[in-house]
Amino acid sequence: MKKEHWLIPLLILVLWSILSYTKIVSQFFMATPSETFLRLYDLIISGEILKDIGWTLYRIFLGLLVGSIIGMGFGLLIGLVPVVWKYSQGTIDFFRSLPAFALFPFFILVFGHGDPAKIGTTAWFVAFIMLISTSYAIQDVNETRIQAAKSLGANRLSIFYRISMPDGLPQLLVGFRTCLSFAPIVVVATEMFSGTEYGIGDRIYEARLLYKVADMYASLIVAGIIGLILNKLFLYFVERKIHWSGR
Amino acid sequence: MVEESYIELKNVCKQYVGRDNPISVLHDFSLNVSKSKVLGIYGPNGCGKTTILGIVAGFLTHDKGEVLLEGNPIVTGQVGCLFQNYSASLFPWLTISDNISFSMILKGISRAERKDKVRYITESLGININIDKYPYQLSGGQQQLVSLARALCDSPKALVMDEPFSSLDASTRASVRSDTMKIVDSLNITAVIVSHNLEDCIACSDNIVFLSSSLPTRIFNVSEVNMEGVKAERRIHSDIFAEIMDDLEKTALAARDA
Repeated sequence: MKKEHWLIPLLILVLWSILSYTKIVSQFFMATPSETFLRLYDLIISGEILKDIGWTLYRIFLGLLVGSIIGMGFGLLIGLVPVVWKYSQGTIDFFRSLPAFALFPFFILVFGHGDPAKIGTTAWFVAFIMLISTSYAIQDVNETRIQAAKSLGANRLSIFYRISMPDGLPQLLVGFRTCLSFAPIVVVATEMFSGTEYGIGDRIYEARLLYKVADMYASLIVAGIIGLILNKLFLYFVERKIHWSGR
Repeated sequence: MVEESYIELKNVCKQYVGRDNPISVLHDFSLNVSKSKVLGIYGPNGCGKTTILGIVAGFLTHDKGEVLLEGNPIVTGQVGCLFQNYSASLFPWLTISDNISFSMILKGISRAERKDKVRYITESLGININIDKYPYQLSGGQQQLVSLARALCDSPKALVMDEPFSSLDASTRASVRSDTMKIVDSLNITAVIVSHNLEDCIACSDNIVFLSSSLPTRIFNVSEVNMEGVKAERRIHSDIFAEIMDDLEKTALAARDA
């Protein structure tokens, strides 16, 4: 992280310290930074929170994987066969307007309280974003590049995987980055709602129930760090491997 | 002596689907290009120049008529193509080397063999660039020369150029035009250049076809650019260039009003 990226977190830390140490905000609602970071240190050293992180990451990963496969599959179909889009646009717009959290009870009803409901809800959310970005990525391929490839002897299959795929990849990854930012939110929320043995969401919810305020704050920091690391890793990959993005 | 046709468009028809009615761009359109000659196609925007070129290059289909090369229907890949928008026509995810040898990639030719061919073609065309770079790392003029090298890499039987210099700034335009025509001259390749810039047409062509502005387009006039013995890259500096320009400007105006 660059120097300037630390400025706002530092300001938040200062504000948090003022509010908590001076007890402007009651300790009932707000743990102090030292209590929170000590608790975080204990949770990491004892390995207690690592299992929660592992399970949350596992659900995020599977939600992204299943959702991306389904979304990209249908997105490709819609992008390549415009008539499918013509017939399915209304239906897709209806289903993608349904909030993922509102569907969580439905997934619990179908899959029970276990992981499939949490992963299914996340996958549902991911699938529609990937469907739309994949279909746009395929439809918005630069026509001059297709003409150039055709003039060089490319057939439809070659045009698809040598031109349309790489040309549309940056657009597709914009959609994936949105999923990567929101999938942890969906997973953590579903862990809070339905309860589970391990998971950051469950830890946050349980800490609130038991008034372990420092525990709750430590878990919230971990949830934020998970999202931050996933985003940074993704950007690192995109900047190095998808160098033609925006060119 | 009547020169034999190398590229031939016979009664070609082409319609586009318009918002209300189909738009007929070409109707019974015929055109001949002689071997080893450069034909300029001049006309205003929207008169169908790029459609003609796309049909010859094989990336556009025609509804009726015949498009022949040496008497046989043109097959995609036989005609190299140079596009107006050089940065959009190159593939930014591939290196310069892979861009130039794209037609060889399609044929499954090994990387080493492709690289050798790319080195040979860039050297023989006098294009001095690092072939391991990506297109967006080059200047506009260099990108257009890479496009030219790509169009010529697979030894096409002819070359078509769609407003190849119009996206370049004034200073680059003259040098890229000169380099391009030096290459076309040295290869003795049959070429078609479409442009709405008369100076480009005169500087590059042996004959110029003036198209009417109304659709479906028709040939208003075919003029010979009589600069026998003047090398293509030197034409613009020759004494008779201004004279020819004056003369053909009148034809261009008449074609526009026709």
